[in-house]
Amino acid sequence: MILFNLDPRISDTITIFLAIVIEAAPFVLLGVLVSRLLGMLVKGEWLVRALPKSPLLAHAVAALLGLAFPVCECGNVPVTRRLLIKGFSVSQAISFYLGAPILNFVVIISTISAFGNFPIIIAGRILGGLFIATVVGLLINYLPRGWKLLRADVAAELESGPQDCADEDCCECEHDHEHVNSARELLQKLRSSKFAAGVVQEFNSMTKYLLVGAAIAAVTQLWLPREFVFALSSNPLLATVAMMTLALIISVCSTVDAFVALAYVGRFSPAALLGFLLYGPMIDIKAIAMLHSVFKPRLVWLLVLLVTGLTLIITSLITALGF
Amino acid sequence: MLISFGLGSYLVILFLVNKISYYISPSYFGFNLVMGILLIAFSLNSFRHFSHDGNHHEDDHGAGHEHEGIKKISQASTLASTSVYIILFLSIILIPARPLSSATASSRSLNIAALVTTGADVNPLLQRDTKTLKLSDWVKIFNFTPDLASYVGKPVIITGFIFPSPEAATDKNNFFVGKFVITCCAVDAAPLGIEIKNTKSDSTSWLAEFKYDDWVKVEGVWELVNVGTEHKLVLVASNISAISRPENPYEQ
Repeated sequence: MILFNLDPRISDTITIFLAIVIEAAPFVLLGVLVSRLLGMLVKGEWLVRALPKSPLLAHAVAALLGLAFPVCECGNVPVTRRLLIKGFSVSQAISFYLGAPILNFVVIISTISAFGNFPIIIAGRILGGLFIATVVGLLINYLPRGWKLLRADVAAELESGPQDCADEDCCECEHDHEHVNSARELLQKLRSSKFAAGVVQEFNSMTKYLLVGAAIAAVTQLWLPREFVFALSSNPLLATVAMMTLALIISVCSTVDAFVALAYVGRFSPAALLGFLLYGPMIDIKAIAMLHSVFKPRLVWLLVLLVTGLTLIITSLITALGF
Repeated sequence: MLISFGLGSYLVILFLVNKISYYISPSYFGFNLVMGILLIAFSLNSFRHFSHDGNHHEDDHGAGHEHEGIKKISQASTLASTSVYIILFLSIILIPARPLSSATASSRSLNIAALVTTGADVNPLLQRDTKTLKLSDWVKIFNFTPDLASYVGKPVIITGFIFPSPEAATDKNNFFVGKFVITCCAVDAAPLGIEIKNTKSDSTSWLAEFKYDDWVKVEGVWELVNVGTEHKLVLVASNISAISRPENPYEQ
């Protein structure tokens, strides 16, 4: 390897960038694999029929689907895309996307493990996560019909049908052609070169966005030192904003972020810590970048706005209750 | 296909040369390795499909003008992403793997990490011979013991790297020795450190012999320093010797 004598802060930025990519890329692959398996094992009609008719309940159930498909937030984007292809509406897919990183067993267990002494934080995270995911989905549901919310290539894919249609006639018919009918067929498909190609393509497409997100997160760490964020901690509202900003910047996986937050128990109120635990899994630099692979920028930024607002409302409520 | 193959290979190689520990927590090593191998396997398996089927991504279902725009966007984004990949691989190949430096250690909040701020197991530490206590044990003690004066004169042996005094130091001329602790990956790395008195008994300074980022083993005893109404423990070193950087540079 050629050695360069780099300024240590630049070298650290590169180390952090690589660390984010190395940590997240395996989860992206996991998400792609889960998404593909979902495509083959679950018929679109089942999923859509599983959602209740009432919009409120439909979005709440979509938010809770993470209990069935546990992947890290990085792996969520491919699964969300798959749900859209299977027939979820944009708003339902968004409820899933926001709910899944919090409402899954791994994250619930790690939160309980870290914050066993603070039941308000555990309850706040679970109920707050369900609330935000459902409400944001509902609000998106009521956007004007004409608004284009999906990226052009995703919209086109939805119109033309699943990628693995072998010929033109296939896509006209009603059956869900991704679906497999037996274990043997499944194994055959899993070993096929075509399946591998699909996985590779989707992985590469996601990784593009992951790289950009990781680079922005790493550079932000360099130029916005944490001490600046903590200087805001004197006032309860600013303390919550400080913890949410930290969550945004450090983009840590929701499976372990409870332990990162635990470190700040002495310095920050439960409400501020809750801000970190609600916000981070839903919105961070890496996730914002990856969402651009499915949704149009205006929808991504609308999501950021809504989640930020609702998180602040919930944490202010918790502060007002005396925590 | 090159990207997934390249990234998969990178993950596996990092593991083989023992540098993966610079970036992520050991609890993820197994998962990373398996996923790296899968990435390589899928990339190789997909080769057949890509070489046979040049039109796999085009929309064959009756060519339409409405798909022209999508093709152009797709070509532009392929060009952009290829450039990003090239930059990524150049960084990986040309810049050697390094753990986080002393510059980051002194700019992040000191001694705040779940490993040392949750108090359940401090009591057993208080019973042990102080020479057996490691860095994180001492930091836990600092965080939870009201009476630090009882430690004055007790012997200490710790290892870590040298970094400049952060805000929390009693004397800016002193330096710190410590390690990072990580939960998930280097992005959440939090520094743990102990303040070492720079001036030796013969009035020379340790920093004349060592520099920041050097890995060292420090032996010494505690001295109590009053800072306003607070008491802090500073280590007076009897011996500091250079050691090689451990394979896993993070405190466990």
